[in-house]
Amino acid sequence: MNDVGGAALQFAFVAALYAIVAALIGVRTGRQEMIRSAERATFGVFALVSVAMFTLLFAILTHDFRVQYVASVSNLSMPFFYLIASLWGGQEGSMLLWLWVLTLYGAIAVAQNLHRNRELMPYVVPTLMATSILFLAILIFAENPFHQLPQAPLDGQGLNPLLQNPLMVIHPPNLYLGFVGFAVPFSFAIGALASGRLDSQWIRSIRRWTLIPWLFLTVGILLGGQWAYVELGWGGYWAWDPVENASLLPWLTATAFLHSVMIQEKKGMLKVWNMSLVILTYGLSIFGTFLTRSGVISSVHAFAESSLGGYFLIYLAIALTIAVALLVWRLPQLRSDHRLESVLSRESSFLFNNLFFVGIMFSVLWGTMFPIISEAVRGVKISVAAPFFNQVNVPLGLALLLLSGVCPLIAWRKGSVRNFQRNFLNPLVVSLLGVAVLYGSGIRHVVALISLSICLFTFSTIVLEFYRGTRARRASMGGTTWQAFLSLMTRNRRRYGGYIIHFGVVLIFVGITGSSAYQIERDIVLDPMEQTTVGDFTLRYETLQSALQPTHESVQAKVEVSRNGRRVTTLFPERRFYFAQNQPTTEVALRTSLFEDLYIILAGFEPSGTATFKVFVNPLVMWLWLGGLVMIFGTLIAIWPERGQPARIGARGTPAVGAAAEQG
Amino acid sequence: MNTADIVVIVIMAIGLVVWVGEPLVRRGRLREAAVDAQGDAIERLTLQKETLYTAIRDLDFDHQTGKVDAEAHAELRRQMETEAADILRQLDLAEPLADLDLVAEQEILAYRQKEDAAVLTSDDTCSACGTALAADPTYCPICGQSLKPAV
Repeated sequence: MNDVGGAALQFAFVAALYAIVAALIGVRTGRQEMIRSAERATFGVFALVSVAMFTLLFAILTHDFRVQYVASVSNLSMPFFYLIASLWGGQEGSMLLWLWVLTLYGAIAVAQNLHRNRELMPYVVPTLMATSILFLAILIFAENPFHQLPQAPLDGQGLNPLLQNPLMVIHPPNLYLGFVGFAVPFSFAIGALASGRLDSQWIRSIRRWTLIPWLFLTVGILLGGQWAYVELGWGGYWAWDPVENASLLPWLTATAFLHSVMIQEKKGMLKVWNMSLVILTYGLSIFGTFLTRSGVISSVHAFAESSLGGYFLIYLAIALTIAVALLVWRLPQLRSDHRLESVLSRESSFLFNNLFFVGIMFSVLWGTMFPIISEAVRGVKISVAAPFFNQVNVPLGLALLLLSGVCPLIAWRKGSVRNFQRNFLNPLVVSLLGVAVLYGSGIRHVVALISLSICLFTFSTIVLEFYRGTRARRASMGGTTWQAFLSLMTRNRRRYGGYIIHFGVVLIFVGITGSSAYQIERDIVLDPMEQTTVGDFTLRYETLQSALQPTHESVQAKVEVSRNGRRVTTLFPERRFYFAQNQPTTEVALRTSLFEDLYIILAGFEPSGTATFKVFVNPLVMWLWLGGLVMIFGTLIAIWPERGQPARIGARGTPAVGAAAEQG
Repeated sequence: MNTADIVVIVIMAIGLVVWVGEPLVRRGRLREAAVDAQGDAIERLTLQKETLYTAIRDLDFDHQTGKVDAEAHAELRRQMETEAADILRQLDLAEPLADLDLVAEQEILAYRQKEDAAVLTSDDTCSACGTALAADPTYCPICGQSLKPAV
């Protein structure tokens, strides 16, 4: 079976090359059948990569340890759930999943456009296939997932215990669905540039194609944070680690694009800027994959040894050169249709928003790359720690949050100063009152006060927007408030979905503020039945128990938690030692509530029973995860198709436009 | 490599070649509507029209929710209406020249809309530009959208 997988990848490589050549010949000679054939090849590539992926999955599920990959990421004792996860638990498998998602997206994009965007497709297909070829080349020539061992071991090594966590099972596919998805907007951008169809049509076609990967990437980043929080045992969820930054970089430019694209749709402005953001987002998602896959992060020297880095860098250089060359070539056609009418307009506030997003992106990129650059230039590796990232990004992040509150108060095109002042007043009063209450209740942390006041301000503008909108709808259509509210939401899903996303962001900021300004961290050493106090909690260490499991040995402490004399819960922080991987892990004991998390790690223990604990009290962490859920909900509302609208808009135009609007 | 593997690989290769090659040898080559300059112009104008309608809707809504005062609203709306009228005129000039296929397809679309008639007539706003309407109108006073089913 494994030979079938290898052959499928090789056939896919040939088919992808063919698709590029056929599509380009087709468009040069005007031979539609060549273009059709190229499109069929993209479906073929998807089918072949699927064969390869399922062959590998089959090998994992049947414990075929002749295959080196299977022997290194799975073993006989792993449950079914983690066997599935081991498909992407190692380098080769995760690359294969990346490729599979890419070809799936490519096949869907081509299928959607069999009868529209016909001028763009001869360039969209080659762009998508070129990205596939990068990964196919890596899988065939450098990291073959089907590589066979001369002799099959009796058992495999098993999946890294740190990855044996339900969050880690869904986190990577989510992140890939995000990362990879930006290849589709990029290929449409290249299609628009190459074909010269630079009106808003391509922007409409990729509207949903940008939001969907953005959603997956958002969820992927949050799941990654949650995994780090519950699994890595250092008490936090974000460390500005290069791997984390790699996922944040394309998210930042994609978020900037989601905002600025509205200006192009409404006013035909910022065409070059939007094109650049799409190219940059794609470049950063490939670059992020390169950072995490090539080993360049841990050391520049590892980079020289890794064969993968070269593939990514050469590909990235070629792709960006072509994209930038096309952009420069089309510059004269990308002039704006309009100018900004007023500095006080929603358009101009979007411009600031974009500057902040791109500013954060550059600071994160610089902080991530600096150790590599310093080692390459001066031979000394200077690592950039969290304080740098926080110093730069906290003010920029807060400014962005403030902007998301101010922006809805300003009208499109031209806001009037008097109206702006009037609208500004209520949220401002709410936020000042809120700060007074917080100050009164003992909060003295300056940054926390600033952050929470901005959160309150933004929250009140969102509420105000819903309130005013509902009132205006009710005035024009009558009915109950609830009907007016629903009609408001359904008539402009993007706008109100966007506000809900902003509300999720506010919750996340509250969570970050609480957990970073008021985290309590204590190292304690306790004898059995001894107790101590951390924050409001009283912890009584009772016993230490060890147990032998098939895959690991575990030592578990029993800790009774009480607060103000009342019993709260019993927690069991644990240390495990996995035999197969020869690796110790800590299992965090966590008691979560809306206001704070109690987080206990068993750091060490003596034969006498004396145990060392690391205890954190992390306020408001739950708000982060709730904010994430709200963001997902808001995005789903924004993505949901607007019923009935498209066909009618197209009524006076051509049917083709109606169809295109339907897609947008 | 065992026989079963070889058979599967051969089937895969043949399947791929047939699937990808079929459009190239299909009898009677694919006839696809070439994109003519006229269709292009109509498409561009229609896009502009839709963009303007959305802008008018946004402007009215911003006015209703107290972000634009009456004076600025009136001035901006006048500007946009002039722009919209200009685009509609250009569309009228371009449309009669559109090829027969498009006309036929538009008629099919109009027929489909007839089925939607109940929804159309009961709307309190124009389905195309969103303007609030008086009871039971025949045409939208702003954009000229027909609000009765074509008979």
